[in-house]
Amino acid sequence: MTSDAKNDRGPKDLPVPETMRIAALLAELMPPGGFGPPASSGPLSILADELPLSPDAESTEGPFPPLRPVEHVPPPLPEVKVTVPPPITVTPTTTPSRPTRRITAQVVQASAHAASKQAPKVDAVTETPKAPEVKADSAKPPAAPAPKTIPATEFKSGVDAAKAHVAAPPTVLASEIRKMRTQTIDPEFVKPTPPAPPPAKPREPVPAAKPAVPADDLIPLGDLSVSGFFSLVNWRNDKDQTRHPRRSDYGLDEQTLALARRNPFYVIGKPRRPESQNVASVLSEIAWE
Amino acid sequence: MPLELTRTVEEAREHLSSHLRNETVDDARIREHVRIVAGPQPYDHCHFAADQFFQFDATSGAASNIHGQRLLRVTDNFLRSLSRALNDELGERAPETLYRIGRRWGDADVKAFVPRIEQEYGCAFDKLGMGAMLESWWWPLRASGWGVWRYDFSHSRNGLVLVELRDSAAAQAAGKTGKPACHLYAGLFAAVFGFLARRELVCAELECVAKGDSQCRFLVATQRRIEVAVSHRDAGATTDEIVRKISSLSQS
Repeated sequence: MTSDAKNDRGPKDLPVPETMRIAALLAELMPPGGFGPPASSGPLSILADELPLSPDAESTEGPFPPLRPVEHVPPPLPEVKVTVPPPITVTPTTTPSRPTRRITAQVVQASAHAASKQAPKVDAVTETPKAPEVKADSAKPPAAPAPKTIPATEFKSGVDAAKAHVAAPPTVLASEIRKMRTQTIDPEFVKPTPPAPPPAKPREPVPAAKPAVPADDLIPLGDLSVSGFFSLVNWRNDKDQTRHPRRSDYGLDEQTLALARRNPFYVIGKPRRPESQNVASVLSEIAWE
Repeated sequence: MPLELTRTVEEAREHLSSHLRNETVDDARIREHVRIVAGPQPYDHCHFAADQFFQFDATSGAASNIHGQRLLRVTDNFLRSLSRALNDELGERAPETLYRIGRRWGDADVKAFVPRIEQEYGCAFDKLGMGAMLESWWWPLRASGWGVWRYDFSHSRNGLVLVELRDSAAAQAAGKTGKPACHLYAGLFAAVFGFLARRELVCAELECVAKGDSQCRFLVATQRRIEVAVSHRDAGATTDEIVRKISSLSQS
């Protein structure tokens, strides 16, 4: 405790003139009410050192009465107002036998990391009331428990306070998660989005090299994407095939070309390899005897 | 119109030329590989619709398929009555008689099939793909209601060819008799594979729907292997066990 380390001597141990001098200086320096309690928006974890002084110590007017020892009895802390969201009712849809998952702050941060970078950070130190058990079959949500008021006596030491926070991990209800995910971010914190790109034109794997190529010579590819082109048409990544395939590339005669123009899957004209599993070869492998 | 077993090879080829040939494209040559022709094809290969594959001559009251083979439309009762009549007349020799009928049928069928398929694809019979050739042979039978087959050459190094048959007309007609009923099929397979192997082969039915199996399975092999297989089958061994034992005997 810082106060114990610094104030080894009580005020009554000091000589009276010196004490009076100090009190007079303090009265001049500090405006009236300057020793009041901190604003209500102060941190929730208040140590005993930061507690306001006793009102008796502020009275510096008139003849100086003998100083009494200051008792270190901290006043009760202001109540922490916690808004309790309504409990959520989860209806199982796919895996009814699956145990109810307890959603903690870590899970929320992990799942909503990408979507809610600007969302208010869940303060692990904040003492959130323990969420009620999520019941899958409860049609009506139970009444929310009353927020727990944290007495100042629980903060006798930093270790005790830490234990009190570690005891139960803060639980965030699913409604809060959805709220965080769909929360409208304050435009002040939003990066200016670049202007939307113009509508993308239908992709063609490779633009036609020459516009003079008749359209009916190009093999229609439909809405083939670039990855689809390289996996279906040019899966060898052949540099000679990095253009829109044409029927004339396959060396077809005019008669076949005329037929292929009506049927895009009709690709013939190349010499056919000999049949490997022909009748003679299969029968020669059979050991009848 | 002659009966199927009295048809000659020349008659089958004439029918093919008059019904399926495109004279402007076909050059009447037999090559070492299937010729790729652009545009109209020398022969029509695609005739899978029933009204294309079967014809009925009302004047003669005869039905035939697109290859000119004479057909006889019968019901299950006819096949069942044929089997029972043979059993009544011949007793224990009835299965063997059915096997011989199937064998004669297969001999005649494959002898007509070889020149037809060579002419249709313009390729020597030995150079045709084994799969295309066998499916071309079985397709008219499948279209006529003899079932769906699947051949298995995976044990050919041990001299065994397996054939699986589903929707057997003979087994369906016989019902659940507890005995193999597809002797006609066995003779058919023995004739065809014996013709291909140019040797005497025998076929035995190891599993049959009439026995309660899920499908009919046949084993085509030499006489010695088939005798071993039949003895194991009668002892209650499964097809896989029989194949395994014969394979071990062949390797030893």
